[in-house]
Amino acid sequence: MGTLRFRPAVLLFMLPAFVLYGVFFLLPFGRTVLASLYEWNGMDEAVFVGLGNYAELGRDALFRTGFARVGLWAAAAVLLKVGIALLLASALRERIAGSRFFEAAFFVPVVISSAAISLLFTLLYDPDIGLLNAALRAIGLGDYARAWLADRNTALYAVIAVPIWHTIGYFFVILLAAQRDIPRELYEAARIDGAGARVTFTHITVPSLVPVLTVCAVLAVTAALKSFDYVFVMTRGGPGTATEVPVTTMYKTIFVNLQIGYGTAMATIIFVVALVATLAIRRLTRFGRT
Amino acid sequence: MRRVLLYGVLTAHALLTLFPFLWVLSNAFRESDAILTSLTLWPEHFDGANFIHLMQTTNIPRAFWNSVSITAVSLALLISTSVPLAFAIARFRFRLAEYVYVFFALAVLVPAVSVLPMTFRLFNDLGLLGTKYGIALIYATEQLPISVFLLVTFMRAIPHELDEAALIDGCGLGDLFLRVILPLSRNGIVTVLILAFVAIWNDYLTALVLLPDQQNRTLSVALAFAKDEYRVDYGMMSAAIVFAVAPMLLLYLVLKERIATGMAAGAVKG
Repeated sequence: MGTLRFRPAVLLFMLPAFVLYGVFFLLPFGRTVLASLYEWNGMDEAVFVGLGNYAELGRDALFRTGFARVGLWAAAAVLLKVGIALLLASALRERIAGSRFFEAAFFVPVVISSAAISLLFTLLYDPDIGLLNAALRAIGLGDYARAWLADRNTALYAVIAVPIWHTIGYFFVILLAAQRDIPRELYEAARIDGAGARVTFTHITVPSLVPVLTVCAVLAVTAALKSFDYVFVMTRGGPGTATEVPVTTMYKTIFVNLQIGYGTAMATIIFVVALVATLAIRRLTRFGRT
Repeated sequence: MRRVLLYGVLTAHALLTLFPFLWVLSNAFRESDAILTSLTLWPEHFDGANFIHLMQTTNIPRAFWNSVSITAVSLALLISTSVPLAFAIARFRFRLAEYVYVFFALAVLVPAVSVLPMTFRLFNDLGLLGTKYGIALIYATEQLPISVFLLVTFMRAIPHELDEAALIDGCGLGDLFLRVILPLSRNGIVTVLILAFVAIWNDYLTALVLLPDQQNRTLSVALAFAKDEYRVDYGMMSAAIVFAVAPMLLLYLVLKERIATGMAAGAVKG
């Protein structure tokens, strides 16, 4: 809160942002929720169906399995992105020779667009020229070489691995900054008490980081729920529907099938799930601390 | 022993992170036939044909300039709306200020992708769909909440006595904003600009939906289309990736600390 006395002119400073936010966020957001109550193909008269779209969504196997896939994606993201980032950050908590290089290197992919990264991994997973198959052959595991993104059994895992690789560096930077904020005295006291690296990690590092780890978990889960680029650029949801997630299903429902009402109902569900997941994670970790 | 393990893990992860980039960089200078027959991190000979082909026959250079101009317009719009709002919230005492935060925080909770279809309708209704710069309105709106949040935090740290002194000296509100607060907020504004730049430049989905005209495609969208257009031309695909990665990599090398710490702060505060 500032100290200057309020005067009407202040509203002028706020006006442009409010107009922008109102017209280009609140309005479409409101229309999204509203449109989900109609059946509409974008051209003909819209027909009010109440919660009919939502009832239909409950029976929609494609949409439901999409959530199962994104659930796996979110779990893998929290475990691997945040887990690996936490380990790397604790390894570099104390500055060592070369730490500037490692810090810089780990973050590199984060500044690159997910479209470019997805294209890079399309090549990496390629059955003929891909780095992954070449590496497998080089270590004598050539039998496992395959068309990773075209194989029903591996496509989903291959897709999920990409955002993990892409954004570990982001979580690494967050957790590194947070770890360096932990008072050094805590670690010194532990060392005097004869605590080893593992004990200090579980008894000092992790407990001190709970609030930041919560933020990381929320970010990882909501990112998984929102991720469109990786799937759409690498597989378009295929082969078949093997990598279809709620966001890509929603996109196709609206922009390909022109089922606006049904698609906006999907959009609303995605928003609610993201909101509930965010609140649940916050609740869960607060519970764990008390 | 512990040190060996430590460096082993760090080096392994650094290799895992950087190796794919080196591999694609090498392939960008090779012909598809060579790429098909062998794997190398050092091309047999450096052949610029892929890049020449990319510059002359594809729409990727055009898409690059589209991204430059669209991002620039978006950032201008973002700064001209978020900075005055942050000024109002940070320097004045009024009830509404507390609620403004909550009001804008709503957008952080709503995934942009779920609003996008109706943004598309709105653009259709307003006649913005065929335009090149209409999308800047959406980019600025998407970056508004986090930017305002960071700017307010920054502006609150400026001593409040300055406001009083300036007003007593006969400064108007406009002068106070432009001559006192704005210059002192320069660092915060630069951080916001960098974060928003990375987010807007890297966007794919919003541009895919709101820029349907081929000549308006941004770099991300053109890249994704390149995947279908040059399916088996591995050298071209590699060159396209290098073309997209290189500018961001250079920017990162110049602004390393600022990008990393800015993004970390943005994540934790947002």
